[in-house]
Amino acid sequence: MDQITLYKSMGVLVGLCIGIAIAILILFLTKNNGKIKADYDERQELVRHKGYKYAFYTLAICNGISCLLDICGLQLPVEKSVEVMTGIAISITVLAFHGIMNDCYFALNEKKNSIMVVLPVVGLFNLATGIANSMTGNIFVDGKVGFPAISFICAAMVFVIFIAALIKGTDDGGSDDEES
Amino acid sequence: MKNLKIKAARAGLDMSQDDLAKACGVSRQTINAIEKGDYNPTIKLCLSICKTLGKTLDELFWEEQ
Repeated sequence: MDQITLYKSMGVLVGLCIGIAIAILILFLTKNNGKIKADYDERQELVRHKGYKYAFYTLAICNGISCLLDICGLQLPVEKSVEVMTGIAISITVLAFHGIMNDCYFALNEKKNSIMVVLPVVGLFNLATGIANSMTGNIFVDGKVGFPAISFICAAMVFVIFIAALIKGTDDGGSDDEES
Repeated sequence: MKNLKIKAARAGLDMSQDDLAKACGVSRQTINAIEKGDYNPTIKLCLSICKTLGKTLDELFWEEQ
């Protein structure tokens, strides 16, 4: 392993550790009972189970399409990592969208307002990272969309979830609407 | 089928859906779904609702033929 590859691997590892630490901090800060784990009631659990099922099928279909394209010898102008991450991002969006539409995205012990602040911040952070990557010319590798483009995919995913939550929140009124 | 008995019992105690939800440890949307007949609660949640509203299972959940 040459020194540049070693530095790159170390960078990815450090980045991953920092990412996990930030995620844990966000999970902690968005709960109102000092827990990291989200608490859902029985209906929310039931609906979320369906969401996981839909997300699983979505991921299976995405991976299936990717395999089928490979078998047919059709090459998309994207790297394999981007293809895989796109499938994951779509399935996560399906899970989140299903949860939002059925009032089970936000847990009982979650601060909804905090999450509604965190979501666009995370989206903008990913967007900024993607723009920085494109400015340094890292997006295209050998004529294909490379791994750094994943920031754009993550940003799109987060913004879709945020907009869906915003629309649903507006629709619900966020009040004690008896017939909502 | 709508469960108007819960709504009536709740209104009798001047409780909102949110008050009942908090007392039972569930979301307001879950109480709303039960009242609208969109969700069948488990016996555990039924008991919790009954205890909170001071009613029996029959009074809140038994459907007359």
